[in-house]
Amino acid sequence: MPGIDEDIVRELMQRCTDDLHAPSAVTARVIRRQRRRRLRNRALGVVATGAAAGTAFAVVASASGGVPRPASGHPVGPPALRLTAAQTALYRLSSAAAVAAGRPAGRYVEMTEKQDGHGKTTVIDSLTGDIWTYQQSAGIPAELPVDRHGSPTEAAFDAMPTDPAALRALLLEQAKQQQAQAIAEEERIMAEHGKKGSVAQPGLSDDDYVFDQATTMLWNPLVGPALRSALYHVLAQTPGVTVRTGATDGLGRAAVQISRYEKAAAVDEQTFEDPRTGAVLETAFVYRDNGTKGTDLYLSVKGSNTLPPDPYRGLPAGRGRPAGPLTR
Amino acid sequence: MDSKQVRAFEGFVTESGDALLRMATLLTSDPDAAEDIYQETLQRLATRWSRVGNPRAFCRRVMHNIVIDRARAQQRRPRELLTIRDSGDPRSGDLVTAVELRPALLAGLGALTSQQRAIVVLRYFEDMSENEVADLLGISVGTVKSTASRAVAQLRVQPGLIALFATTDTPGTN
Repeated sequence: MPGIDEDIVRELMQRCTDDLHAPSAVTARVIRRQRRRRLRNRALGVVATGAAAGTAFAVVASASGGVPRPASGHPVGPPALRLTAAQTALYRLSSAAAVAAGRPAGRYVEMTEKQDGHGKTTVIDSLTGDIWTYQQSAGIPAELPVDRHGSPTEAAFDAMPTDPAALRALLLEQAKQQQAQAIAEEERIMAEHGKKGSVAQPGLSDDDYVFDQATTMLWNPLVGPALRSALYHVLAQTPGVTVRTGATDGLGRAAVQISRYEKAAAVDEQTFEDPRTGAVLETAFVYRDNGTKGTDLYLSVKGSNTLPPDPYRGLPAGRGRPAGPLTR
Repeated sequence: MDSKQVRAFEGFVTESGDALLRMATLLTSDPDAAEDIYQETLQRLATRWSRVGNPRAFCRRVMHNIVIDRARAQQRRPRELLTIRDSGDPRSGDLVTAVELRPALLAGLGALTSQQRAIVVLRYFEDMSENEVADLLGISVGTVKSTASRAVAQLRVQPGLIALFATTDTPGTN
């Protein structure tokens, strides 16, 4: 041991904690949360075959009793399904989304938001799925590298099933593939750092996955009215979803709050929707154990046929941008 | 976060997680609380990842803030006493002995004020300079020096650690 008091303290603290290792479960939970945020941009990376979706549809429809329909005339046969208040609110949102204006015109969709209080603008190329991200910042990256094919294209969204059960099956299949990829990637990173071991499955239920995927997809402004409407139907048939009408988002805008508690991560997932259009106003998550919260407030969505400049710096085209204006 | 940032975050946590947990343990002198603080720190880092230039520095500051907040919240509660037992000669330097010393070290750190503890941990565990500690905590370099000195003096007389420091009082020994 060294002879100077400070050196003794230094060495004592090092040696006394050498056997302490960060619990992998904690790390996995935090990383999973970040992957979820990223996956908002990647609302679908998997194309299900019609056969696979059809098979799943049959199973799900049988389990859920099919999509509830309004009763008409005198009851004949099985009694009419009684909708819960949450389902009723979600079907209203679905109806609103189905007749809403839909995607803004133009090849590029520009969405501004406040993420944890800071300005952020995302531009998505509806043809290629490339994503540009700009941040209102001081001394930090103002522009993130272009995420090539980071989002499904408009055409990919349009090709998705709008039957709720088939859509649920697709979301589930996609989620499980993404989960497998994420675990493989985390294990690769551990190996790169010379750490042994495997990453545990997060212990999520199918309903956890479906809620996650559906709310993630609702975020994407490339999603059209029919698919958006179907996603609300999927949520209406997902156990554990709670709905609060007459809510307000972080900016005081009237909203319908859709929430679900994910037990595996002890986190409340929340999304606030515009009751008139079904558009997303805010997404948030709150960890129940320590109250850590993250919020994304969506401020505006607009379209254009030329790639918008960085709104915070007002500079001309930056790295990774196409050479000139593009038309749809 | 884009995919590259997620990978960078994962790489940082994989590389620095152990060190962060150890720092949290020393800052709190409570292994259970340390795990909570470690998780909360990572969560805060994750939500701001793309805005953080130096993640390690960010974590240090966040941990310190959380510890201060918790200390304020717990001021009314009596401090739990840690059981300390004599671990024999701590100068042997082997890991088992060092681990056995942990209760005494944590008890010693726990007897310090939050600021003393932060300064000792940042200065001697994180190997930050006096200027860096002063910047991080928003205090003067002189305060860092004097506080560190008083804190180390207090640790010298902590039961279970006295023998460890005894050699420095004996001329001709290291």
